Formats: sequence, structure tokens, C-alpha cells
Amino acid sequence: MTNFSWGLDGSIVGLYLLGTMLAGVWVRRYVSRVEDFLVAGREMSIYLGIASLAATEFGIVTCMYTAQNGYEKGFAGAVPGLAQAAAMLVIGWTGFVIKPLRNAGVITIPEMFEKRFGPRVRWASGLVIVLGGLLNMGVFLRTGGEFLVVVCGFNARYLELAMTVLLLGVALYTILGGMLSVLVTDFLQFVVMSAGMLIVTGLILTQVGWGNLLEAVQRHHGAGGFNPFVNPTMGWPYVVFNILLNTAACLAWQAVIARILAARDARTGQRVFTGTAFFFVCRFMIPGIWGIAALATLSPAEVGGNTLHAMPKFLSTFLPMGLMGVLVAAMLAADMSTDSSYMLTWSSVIYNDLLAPFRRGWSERKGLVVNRAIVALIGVFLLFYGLWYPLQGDLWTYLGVTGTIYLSSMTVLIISCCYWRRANNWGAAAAITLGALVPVGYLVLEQVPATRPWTAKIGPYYSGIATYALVALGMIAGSLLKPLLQRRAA
Amino acid sequence: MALVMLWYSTITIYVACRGSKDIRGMLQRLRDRRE
Repeated sequence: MTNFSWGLDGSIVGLYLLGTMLAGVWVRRYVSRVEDFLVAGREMSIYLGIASLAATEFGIVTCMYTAQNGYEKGFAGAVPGLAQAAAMLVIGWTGFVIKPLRNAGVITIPEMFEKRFGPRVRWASGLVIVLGGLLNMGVFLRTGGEFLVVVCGFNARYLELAMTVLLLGVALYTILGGMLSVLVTDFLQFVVMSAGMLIVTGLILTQVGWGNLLEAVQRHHGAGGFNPFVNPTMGWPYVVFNILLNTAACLAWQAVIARILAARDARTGQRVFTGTAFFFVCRFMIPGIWGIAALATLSPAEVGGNTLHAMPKFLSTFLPMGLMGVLVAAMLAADMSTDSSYMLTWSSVIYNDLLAPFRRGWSERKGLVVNRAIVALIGVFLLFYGLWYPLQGDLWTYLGVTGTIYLSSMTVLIISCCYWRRANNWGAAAAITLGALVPVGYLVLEQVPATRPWTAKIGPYYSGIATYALVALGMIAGSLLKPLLQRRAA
Repeated sequence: MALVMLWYSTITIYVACRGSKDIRGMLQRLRDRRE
């Protein structure tokens, strides 16, 4: 049983969905060129950028796995958020990578690589980004659907239907308005999401109490609930891996970088980063508190075997009617902003980089049609992949490993491209190959019964750290080897 | 904790107000560019 009322809560959610759809579809009239569609004509200003980036990088998936972290690891589970906030702040202040990237006037990261490493590296980078990004995004729909099923008390048989309806709505305005629709709807979603999160957290703090939350973490996790270095499930490999992963996400995650590329200039992009850093702390702290509230109030029997469902189960009975609608609208807002932005992001790489050799001479009109078709195809892919993929282990680990598939190589490539004059296409090829092979190899070995104990012993954090180290070594070795062999051949 | 919540609310409202102004400006510039 949940407190969700179809009359009151359903109306709040329906009104929110209608408003968002109308706003998203309305701005399509401003899209006349491919640049408008992919980077909003590079007219994005600071505060719209902050709202958009904060909304995009917080989806139901973020909320679910962060709450799971809060439930399983206590306050120490906020490490990823703190790492990302610190990375974003430093990168925003210094302009490291993002300044030369924006000044280059490119639409995607691989386009930047072509200037330094050639068209083949651009194409290969685009492929790695699209594969890594889509695999990563593949779990979004199912997890979002699971949240709605648990919180609203839907019959689980309707999960696929709920996912389909949600995706169709998001796809509609993304296809029509591209980045402009994404920015405007992100803004509305930022407002709704923030209001919902504040109200729910305020209620938890007054009803459950801050003291009870602290006491629950101390009772269940001891010192490890506050200090990641003494937590048996975390330790320094977890912290180091998260620092690497989250710094890489700020430098090379195309969905994040898309805001820099859509900004009016490099300075605006930098200020978007420094301004959004604060929201990344909240992104991990608030759902973490919700997860800890579940830990404080629910028994293990009530939670069941899947700790991912602890937070939604808690909220389904904790929130009164009316506030359930606010919560569901907030979470839908979070999910829709992420889905729309990610669909556009991966389609922009497919169009701009993978189709680069084939689209010479295309008119703006044809470019827009192709872009829209790619967004629609990504939607179809997500629906089927999101429905069928059986998620193993905890969500954050899965997202981390699939994200590492491209983040490791793309981060090394973009840093080398901007700051190492001796970097060349041999180094880039070695970095891309290693960056894809190590995480994919780990995922495959994890599924094979004979090698499963071995991968369990290594763990995803050592594997992730090793990937970044090997990719950097590959870039250095490849770049130094090419001139050496060329000199010998001459 | 109440102060943290107040701080978060204030920043959120500030970003929301300035963000709505940014949207109007962005759409105006795109409209001007088309004309």
C-alpha cells in the first residue's frame, strides 16, 4: 500500500507533465539550423546553464543509487558527489580543458580530436563515446520505472508501459526542439525537482529527526558510515576510483561538456561549472539522507533483498497524499531532463562524428531531419535495452564500469590534445583500445563462472584505477613510439 | 541542518530567477538572429 492518490497526486503529476511538454514543443520554432538543434545556437547564459546541468546530471537513477549508497554506506556514501563537486569547482576556476575546448568552436569532443589526431581517431572516439554512453544510459528507464512502481504502488506488470509512455513524451520534445527544448525543459525540471527535494527532505528532518539519522548510521555502520577509509566496502580504492571517475566525468562526459559547448563563450562555461559544483554536493547528500531515513525507519524484512528499493519503499508510506504528487513530479522531472539531454548528446556524436565522412554537402534541413531521426532511434534502442538488460550488482558500480569504457580514454585524449604537444594518433589509438578493452574485459569475465571469483577478488575499483593508468601509459608509449620508429625507418 | 536547507533554498531560488531571465534573453537573441 502507498499513499499515492490518483485524484490529487495524479493531477499534480499530470499538470507538470503537460506544462513541460508544451514548453518543450513550443521552443521548436527557434530551431532553424543544426547548430541551434545541437548547441542551442551557442546562446546559453550562466544561470540557465547551471539549472540545466544540475537537472541533467540528477535523474531517478542518481537518486536511486545515491539513496542505496546512503542506506548501505551511510554518510560515507556521499564520496562520489563530493569528488564531482570538487572536480567541477577546480575545473571551472582554472578553465582546465574546458576553456580550449569551447574556444575551438566544436560541437562534440571527437571533433576536437580530428584537428590533432586525424579523422580516424575522431571516428573511433565517436564510436567509443556512443557505445559507452548508451550502455550507461541503458539502465535509466528500468530504474526510473522501478521507482515509480514502488512509490506509486503500480502493478509491476505496468513497468514497461510506464517506461514507454515516459520515453515517448521525452522523445517528442527532444526530437522537435533539440538542445533548446532540453535547456528550457531542464530549467522547469530544475525548479520542480528542487522544490520536491527540499519539501521531502524538510519533512524527513522534522519527522524522523537529524539525531535519529546520525544514530541509525552509527548503529548500522559504525565509524565506516562516516569515514569512507575505514568502511569495509569502500576504502582507498573506492575513493581514488571515484576521484578519477568524477574528474573524468567533468572533463569528457559529453552530456556535461555539451553545456560548455552551448555556452556563449568560454568564461560563461567556466562560471556554469563553478556555479553547478554546489548542486553536485546536494545531488548526493539529499537522496543519501532519504536512504539513511529508510535505514532508520524500516526493518530489513520491510526492505526485502533489494536495497535499491529501500528509499522508494520508505517514501511510499512516509509521505502524505498531495506530497506524493510533488515527489513523483520531482522525480519525473529529474528523469526527463536526464533522458532528453542524454538522447540528444549521443545523437549529436552520431551525427557530428560517426556520420562525418558521409554528410558532406547536406543542407541544414536534411541535417535537422537526420538528427531528429537519430534521437528517435536512440529512444527505440533504450526502450528495448532498458527493458531486457538484467542488472547485476549495485547500480553505481555498473554505471562506473560502463562509464569508464569511454571516460578513461577520452579524458586522456582530451588532456593530451589540449596540453601535450607530442601527443599523436598512435598514442590516441593505444589509449582508445586500452580504455575499451579493460572495462569490457572485466564485464565479460564477471559473467563467466570460471573467472567470476577472480574478478570478485580484484573488484571494480582496482579494475577502474588500472584502466586509467593503462590508458595514460598507452597514450605516452604510443606517442613516443611513433616518431622513434619513423626516425629509424628514415 | 536547518541553516543548510535555508542556504540551499536561497541559492535554488536565485538560480531559478536568473535562469528565467536567461531563457528570455536566449530566445530573444535567436529571434533577432533569424530576422
